[in-house]
Amino acid sequence: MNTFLLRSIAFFILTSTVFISCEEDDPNESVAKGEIALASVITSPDGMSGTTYLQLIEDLTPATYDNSVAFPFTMSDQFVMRGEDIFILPFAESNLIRKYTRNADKELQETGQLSLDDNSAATAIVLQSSTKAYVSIMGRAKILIINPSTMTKTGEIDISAYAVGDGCPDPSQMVIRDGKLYVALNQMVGGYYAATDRAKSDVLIINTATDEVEKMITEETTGMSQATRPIDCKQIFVDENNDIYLITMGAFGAQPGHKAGILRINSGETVFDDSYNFVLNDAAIEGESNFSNMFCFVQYAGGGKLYATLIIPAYWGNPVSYLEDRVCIAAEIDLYTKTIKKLGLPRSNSYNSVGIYNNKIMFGLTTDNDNGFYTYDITTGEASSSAIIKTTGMPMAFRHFGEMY
Amino acid sequence: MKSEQRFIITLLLLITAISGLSAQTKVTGVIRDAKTKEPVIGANVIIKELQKGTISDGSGSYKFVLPRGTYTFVFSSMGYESQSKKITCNKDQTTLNVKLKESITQLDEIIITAKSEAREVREQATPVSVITVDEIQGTVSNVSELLTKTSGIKIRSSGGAGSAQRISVRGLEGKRVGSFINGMPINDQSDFVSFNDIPLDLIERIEVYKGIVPAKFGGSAVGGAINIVIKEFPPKYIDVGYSLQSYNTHNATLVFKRNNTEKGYEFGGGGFYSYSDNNYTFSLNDPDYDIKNKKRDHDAFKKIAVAGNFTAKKWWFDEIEFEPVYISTKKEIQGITENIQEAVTYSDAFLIANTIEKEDLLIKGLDFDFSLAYAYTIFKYQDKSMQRYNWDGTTYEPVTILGGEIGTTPNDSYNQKHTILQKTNLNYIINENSSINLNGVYNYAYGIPEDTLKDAVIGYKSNFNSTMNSYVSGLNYELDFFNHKFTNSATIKHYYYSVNTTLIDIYSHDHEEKPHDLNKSDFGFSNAIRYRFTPEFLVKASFAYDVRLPSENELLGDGFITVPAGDLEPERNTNVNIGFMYDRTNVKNNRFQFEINFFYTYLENMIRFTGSFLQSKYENFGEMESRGMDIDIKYDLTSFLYVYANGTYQDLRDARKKEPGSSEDNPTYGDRMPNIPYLYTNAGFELHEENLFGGINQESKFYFENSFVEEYFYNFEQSVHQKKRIPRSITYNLGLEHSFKNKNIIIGLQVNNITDEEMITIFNRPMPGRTAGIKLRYIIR
Repeated sequence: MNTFLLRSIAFFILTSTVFISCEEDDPNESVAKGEIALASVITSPDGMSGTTYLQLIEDLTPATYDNSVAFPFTMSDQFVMRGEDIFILPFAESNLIRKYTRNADKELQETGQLSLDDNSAATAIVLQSSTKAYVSIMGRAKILIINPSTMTKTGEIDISAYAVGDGCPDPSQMVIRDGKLYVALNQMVGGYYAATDRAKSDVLIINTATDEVEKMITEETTGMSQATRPIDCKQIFVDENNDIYLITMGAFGAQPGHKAGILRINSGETVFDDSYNFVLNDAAIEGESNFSNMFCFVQYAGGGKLYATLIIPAYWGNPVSYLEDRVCIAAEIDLYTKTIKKLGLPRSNSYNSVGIYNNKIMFGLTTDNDNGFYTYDITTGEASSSAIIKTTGMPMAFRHFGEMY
Repeated sequence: MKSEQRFIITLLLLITAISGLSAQTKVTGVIRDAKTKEPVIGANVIIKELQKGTISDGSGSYKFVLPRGTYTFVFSSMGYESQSKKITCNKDQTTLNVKLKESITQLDEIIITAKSEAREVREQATPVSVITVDEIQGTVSNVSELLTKTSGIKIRSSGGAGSAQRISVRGLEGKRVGSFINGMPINDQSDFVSFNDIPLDLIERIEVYKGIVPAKFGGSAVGGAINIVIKEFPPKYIDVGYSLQSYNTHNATLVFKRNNTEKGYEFGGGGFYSYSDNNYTFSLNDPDYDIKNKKRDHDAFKKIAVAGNFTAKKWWFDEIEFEPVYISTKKEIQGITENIQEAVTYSDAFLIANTIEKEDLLIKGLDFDFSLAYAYTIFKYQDKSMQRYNWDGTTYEPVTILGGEIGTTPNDSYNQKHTILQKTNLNYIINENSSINLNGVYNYAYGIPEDTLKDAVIGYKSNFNSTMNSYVSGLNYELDFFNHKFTNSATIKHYYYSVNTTLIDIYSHDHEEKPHDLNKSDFGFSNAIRYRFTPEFLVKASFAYDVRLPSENELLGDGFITVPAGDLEPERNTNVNIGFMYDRTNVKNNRFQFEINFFYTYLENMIRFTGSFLQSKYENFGEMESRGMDIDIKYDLTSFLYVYANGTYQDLRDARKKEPGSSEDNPTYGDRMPNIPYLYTNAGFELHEENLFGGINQESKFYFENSFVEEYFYNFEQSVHQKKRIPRSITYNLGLEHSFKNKNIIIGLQVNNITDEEMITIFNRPMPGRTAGIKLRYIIR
């Protein structure tokens, strides 16, 4: 019996020890503080998922930043800066809009959440006031009206009647001008493309006083289609002349007859400017022998200068590799002369971004040699020879608090 | 082609080199109860002079191949008087049948113990775990639940009965792990048959090979292999079973067998029916979703299988078997982050298999196994709802004007496939100390996919017929030294693979259809040694340098969202294992088994599915390194108490030094690979007693199981704020089994996860909490 008892005790000790494991680490809740929000993405080994890390940094002092104190989000989340707030919009891997606010200590804090219906795919948020904002819901054919201070829903606008080809017009980026909300529509049918036989661009105009749709305007002469890329909030903007410019996707260059480019709605007008169209697919690029067929990300800097990363399809490999193929060039676009100039920066894969910091354009590039934000000085025309702000992961967003655009 | 020629020449040279034959005798026999004439299963047969033994199989049969000479055979079994017989082996073949008499006294423990097939498998030079019939029978469980209690194994499920599962062996999972039933590969038929479809009552044992996949299985796998060995039932047998578990889960099985001894015919048949509503409630523990307390109401699963069997044992071959099988499955698709109410999959498989066995084919010592199987399968995926559903039941527009609930297009696919699988195995026992095994597996698949609904939405045909051929050949040479103390097992494998299909480029405006042909070949080799210090204690060491060829869908994609990747390289794995094993099992079947293994793995050219908003594809993306150990203890503390424990630590690390196509350092180099468990243990005990409640020929069993999995991260761990984790889980199961009439009537009860622990094995795919089940089984022998 004693032997049995000893054996039992020995076995108990043996089996019990395997269940003892370290206590969970007490996470260090420290966060970075600063004037700039930057995001970088690291993919998981499965290649399908990953994490985007958002953190604040002080300035452009050359440095390499890890993600140890960054806030993690999904790979498809979009970061929209409005004043001291950063709204994180869920596209495909979340159903929560989250609001982070920079506090008096210049630290980011989560200050609100709003739960959305499944498959909402929020693509844009614009603020009419501190208590009223519009959120475009690409997956549900509606524009939500929310109170951004309390992060509560106060209403919604059904826009399914403006769908062409299916039941949802796929609202994308938005901008408010003179009491009207301009909603760019993607009009996708099956997958992410517009109907093959409909190479047109639609914008919905909503009266912000009544929250009723006034009309949908359509540009149908140039072949430009699918107004604004859903994951780039800067692809529609109002310039210093109160004109609206918007970028078209052109079915990612994959549909015959569909083109990418730039359209304009002049100040005081609610129709497209027939006299202005800028088709990217047909435009020569100074310093680049190949043509482009898509704007990846853009940043307006004033004075008619638009900075962008452009996809050059000639640089896709065979087979295509989204990580290894350096298909994007950094470019300066003159909206007034409709010319494009390639900048002296290395090519990036399609995980890139464009931002602005005072008089510097910040190109987030994933290049053959480094990952991070290169600078292009608007006033001197000088480009950095390497990434000034090096990121751990691919640079996906750069937002400077207080910038006009 | 040159490499193939070289391979064939090498084979010929090796076969020529083993032409020196030595004289041997094959001794076979059947052990029966002297009174009832029933076969005695599990009886020990020991050859005194050689210190060698075996155990009688399900039909009471045993077999030895011995050098010529005179030997003393000792036959023994619990409850019988032992018998000794001396015979002289001077012919090619000798039969020695015995009848054992019942005994009222217990046998004394003897030093030499015979080995069951399970133990023989465990003592192979390659790292392997075996789940024996003792651990299987009676439990209200399934294969996955048994496997996941094994060291080095984790089964990760997306839900309840019928849900998708990922089998991981020491952290390598998916297509890297080979799945076999009786040595026949089933990886490519995962839509139609899975391990959990096999009723536990039909299983003799489960072999889990870790790191090295034996050549005899063919196929291409680098992480390991799981082989389920089906029981050989007695010639006359009826077995009926039924179980009822939580969430309206039913399983019914029937097996019968009859024989005509005179003509050597056996007829058998059987089938099973499984159904579950899987309607449990779940919540997501995900910072990105606010989804709580949703009831799964579109997750029903139904499967029915019918099989027949005809075996002839007197048609020149030792055994010729024909087996037709039909399997039909319907599975509703349950939404997790969205409410899905109509999408469903159907799969039907018609299969006919033929196996032939012949020992001493043409020359003595040459055993021949041949199998040929043809399968016709139909897989249907229907997602054509004209509305989508909110969680409250209200509806909204489908994904396209032609319907669809999931993704970006509706689907009404009808994918047919014709598959032929042929396997030939030649095993030649050169002499008492060496044997050679030549194995070839040919696989042909002709796929005919169709989805007119999807094509109508995207505007062009997206799926095309494809033909795939593969041939995997392996040669194994096993050599014993020092009176069987030292064994060396060397294997070389050659792989060939070809695909013919049509592809389209969705980036081109005309979506031109282009024929696409490719073929690939590669090789692998391994060597395993075993040294036996004592009959109980041995050491194993092995090295493998092997490949996994890309599968058909990895190379070809689906013609639409998943683009082809014709340049995919095979995954290359280097595996080193060293293990120590102590196994003392006496004649009363009381055991003390202890095994510890240390392993190292370096996986190159890993294949992953890389996503994009427009298209996805499979690609080689880099390297992963793994170090770890697993430990396993099984111990019969007393005649009525059995305890076990095992644990696995597997430290998988990202070994990519640079970013893809860049000189930039990889930020996750050296980090633990995410979404893979790295520390898990199992432990439990079992109390068993005969006639506990009086009566005769009854046996009671009570068992308790514990499982622990340490928390692990869903993504690479980079930030202190990272919250996406698969939480630590500690679960407990309880079970009770009582049998009457010498185990002819068995009742089982089991409660899983008695503390109702939150269970997640795949991120955002919650498992059921506490479940209970009852099982009844009736056997007529």
